[in-house]
Amino acid sequence: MNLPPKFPLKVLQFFCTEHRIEELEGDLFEEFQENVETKGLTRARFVYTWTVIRSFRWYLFDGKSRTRTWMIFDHIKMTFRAIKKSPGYTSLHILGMAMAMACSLSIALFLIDEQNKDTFIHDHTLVHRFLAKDVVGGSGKFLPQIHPNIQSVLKDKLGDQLPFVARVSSGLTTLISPENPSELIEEDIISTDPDFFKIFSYQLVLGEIDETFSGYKEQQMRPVIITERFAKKHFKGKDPLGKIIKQPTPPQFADEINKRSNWYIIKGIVQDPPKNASFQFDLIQPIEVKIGPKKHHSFSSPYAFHVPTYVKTAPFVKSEDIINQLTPLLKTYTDKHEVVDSQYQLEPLVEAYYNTNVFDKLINPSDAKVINTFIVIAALIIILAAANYINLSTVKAIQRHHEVGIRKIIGATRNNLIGRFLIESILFCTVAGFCAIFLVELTLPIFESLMTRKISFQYLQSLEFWLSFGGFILVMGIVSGIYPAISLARHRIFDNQTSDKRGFLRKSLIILQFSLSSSLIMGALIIQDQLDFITDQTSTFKGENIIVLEGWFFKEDQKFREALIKIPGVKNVSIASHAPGESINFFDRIKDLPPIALQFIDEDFFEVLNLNIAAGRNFKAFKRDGSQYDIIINENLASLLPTDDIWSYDIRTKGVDENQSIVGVIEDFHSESLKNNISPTIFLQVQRTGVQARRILIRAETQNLSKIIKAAEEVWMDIKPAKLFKYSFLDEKLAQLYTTEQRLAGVFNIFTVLAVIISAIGLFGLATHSSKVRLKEMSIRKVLGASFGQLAVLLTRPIIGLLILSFVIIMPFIFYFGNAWLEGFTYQKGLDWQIFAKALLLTLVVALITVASQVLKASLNNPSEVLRKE
Amino acid sequence: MKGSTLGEFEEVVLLATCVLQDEAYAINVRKEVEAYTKRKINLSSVHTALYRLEKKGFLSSKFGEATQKRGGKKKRYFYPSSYGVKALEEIRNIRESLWHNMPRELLKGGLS
Repeated sequence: MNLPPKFPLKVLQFFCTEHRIEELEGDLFEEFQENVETKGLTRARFVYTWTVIRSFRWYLFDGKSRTRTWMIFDHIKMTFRAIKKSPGYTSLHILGMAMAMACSLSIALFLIDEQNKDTFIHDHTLVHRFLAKDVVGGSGKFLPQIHPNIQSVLKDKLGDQLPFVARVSSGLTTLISPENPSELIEEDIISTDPDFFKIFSYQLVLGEIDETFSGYKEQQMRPVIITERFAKKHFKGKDPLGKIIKQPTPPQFADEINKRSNWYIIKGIVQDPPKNASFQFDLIQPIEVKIGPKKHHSFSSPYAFHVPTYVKTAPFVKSEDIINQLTPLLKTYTDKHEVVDSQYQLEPLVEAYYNTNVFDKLINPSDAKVINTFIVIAALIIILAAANYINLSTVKAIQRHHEVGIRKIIGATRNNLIGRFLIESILFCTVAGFCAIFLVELTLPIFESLMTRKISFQYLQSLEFWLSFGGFILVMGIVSGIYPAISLARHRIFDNQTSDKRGFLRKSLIILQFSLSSSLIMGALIIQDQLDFITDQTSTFKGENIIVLEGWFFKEDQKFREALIKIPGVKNVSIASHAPGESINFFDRIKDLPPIALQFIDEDFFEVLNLNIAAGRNFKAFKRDGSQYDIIINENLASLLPTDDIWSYDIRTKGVDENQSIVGVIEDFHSESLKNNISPTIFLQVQRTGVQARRILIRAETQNLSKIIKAAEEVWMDIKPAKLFKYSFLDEKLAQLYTTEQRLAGVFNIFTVLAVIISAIGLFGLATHSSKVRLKEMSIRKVLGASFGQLAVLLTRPIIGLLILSFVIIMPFIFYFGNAWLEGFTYQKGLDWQIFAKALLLTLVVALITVASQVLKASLNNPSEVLRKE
Repeated sequence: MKGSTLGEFEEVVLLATCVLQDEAYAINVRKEVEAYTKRKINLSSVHTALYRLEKKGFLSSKFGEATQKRGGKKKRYFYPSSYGVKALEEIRNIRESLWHNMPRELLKGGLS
């Protein structure tokens, strides 16, 4: 007998009201059979489908069950009853789902926040940042330092393409607190041009931009514009216009205190930078205050201070056009090498947000890699949780076959049952959703510190958020509920089985879960391993701490040294240009060799850092006798020099005129991140040009660290009371080099824990089901003489098998990705087999613990009780 | 005029139901109507007419047996109600009185 086409039939059955479906189906079937005999199969099928289509008329829907809509309340009641029956199980179930939702919610928030940056800026896409290739330092990197005269060149000659150009330099300023003259405050101040306001869309609340900027002359007080919050904080309620803020000066410069050109006069108030602004500030001043008067900006002036420059292009202007015009234009003004030979670039603001190679102290770049990893892992977790949910639902459903059977007997249709279970699923997801919001509120601060960014998006107050959240819950409920619902409603009443006879779906879902969890565990271990390796390599100083003081110590360096070394607990003090861990931007060239880093140090530097001289000697006390200067090179550079006899090698670098000779070779050490190679380095004595004395390194015992720091602060206040005392620990500085990796590790760790918890929940559910199902079997085995041990092994064996299988599957992927990530580090230990062993062990242990309770229950059962019913 | 809520197609379907006596279900009704009107009728149109007639009260219906021929589904049989027969008679009366007064010339098929 031929069957009519299935699809039209199914459609008809789906839509047709119950008390018509039988006769309609029958009629259609009979007609089909007749047509097959008279007109052939194809024609019959065609007629069948066509008739079904034409049957979509009023009588199809003319159902007696108007009660359908009100059934929802019944469903809800039933769901609550079901929950009450197994509260532990359901809460685990919901918890797993809630965690996954919290996961996706967090990413969504971060993503929205990303999109939300600087939305207040008009014509955001037209804002660009200038970058120039570093031709002086020789590093070849693109830096945001632009010659200050370029700004006026652009405004004069390219004004129609670049209507707004502003130099923007950010820094800190120390002020005497306006309301409390004995207190010093440090605030962010931006030195810029009037176009700043147009570029970044800031409005003045009080005061005039032009008046502030053009009115400034060098010997007058410095005009400054404050933010509303600064005004509120320091001038509570009073009108700040015209008020004066003074800067602190050390007592030996008493006449400086009264120098009015060091004072700030408030000329205006600007709106507060919004929470989602990419940079914050408290004060704005004309840039001439920082980099000197206009005559210092000309191309021929040796005082030109390079600063970041931002522009807003006219619409439809192409960056390449501007760049192509720029260099020939500059050549008409000057032939200064660093200006005309530099390669320029106009970087759109959106790219600047992610450019981790450029630090202009204004925009804090986010690492796109970490964000992407975050997203990928979170997506994996959601898959994990969905798989979990489906597994748990199916398993629980099987236990409810009694309920389903009875319902069917009293006349529930398949649609009824499916609807019922879907509603249950949606309800679960709603509860999970609210738990998720609660979880997110709890954990958001952790994520914010991890990504070092605060979410400015007030999601709880946004209507669109609630609407899309509602939709999300609905979708999740339907998607994760549909399979269990259908399989439940489908299986035959008197059977204990589903269509999933050998548990294929269940098994593959478990394998998926195990694979995901173990990959995350392995990932976390790999990252942690590498991090430990790094910190091992870089911290050579045990039991002692190195304190780093930052500042410009030019004339006072020896004073500092003498005072600091007297402090009890201080072992040694060194003055240098860089502390390890800072990027070195001073480069010099020797013909044919790669760029050589320059560091300025004194004779105590190596001792403070516990480094060994490989050959020759250390610096001696500095004597300026003008004829010959000592320099020390590192092993790397030594190996690059064209001669073996370095002691008599006449070392000629481009930047230095004086005679220099190599007196010592220091062992290679990482002064920059382990991600970079160690550069060939020349060490010069800092006293040669005192300008380079910017860091003081203090080697001190850990015993009395706080006392030592306090004493150091007193020394500081003595010598340099006009600046705030800033110190840091070398270990922390070095650790900061690896913030990306640390954040990655943090993200991985959190997610791994999450994944393991979710998987454990799933595993627990499955174990419970398995033990219930096999209770009878276990009892019989017991009666037949099986021992507890044998039963336990029997129960755990399938799980272990699946675990090992998933491990085997996932290993090649981890290997590949792990290696790929480690390539980013020039110095790495490589993937250790120990990592895999540890991960396997961990997963095994977790699995066993989860399953333990159920295994025990099944193995320790009392056969007489279980088999009583037989 | 009473009973004028009967459409042309519905009238034919109702008549067919009467003719078929105890065998009037959708398939059969359709065959009858097709045979008499010599037009192809879709099954769904017959369904529509039958259900509408039932709703208006001209027909009553009952479930019959399930047969293998119908894949195990039962048939629904339709029976004209007395109200339905009355409606048919009324229509017929109206038509006949009009025909009675038809001029002879037209009947012969002639046009002037």
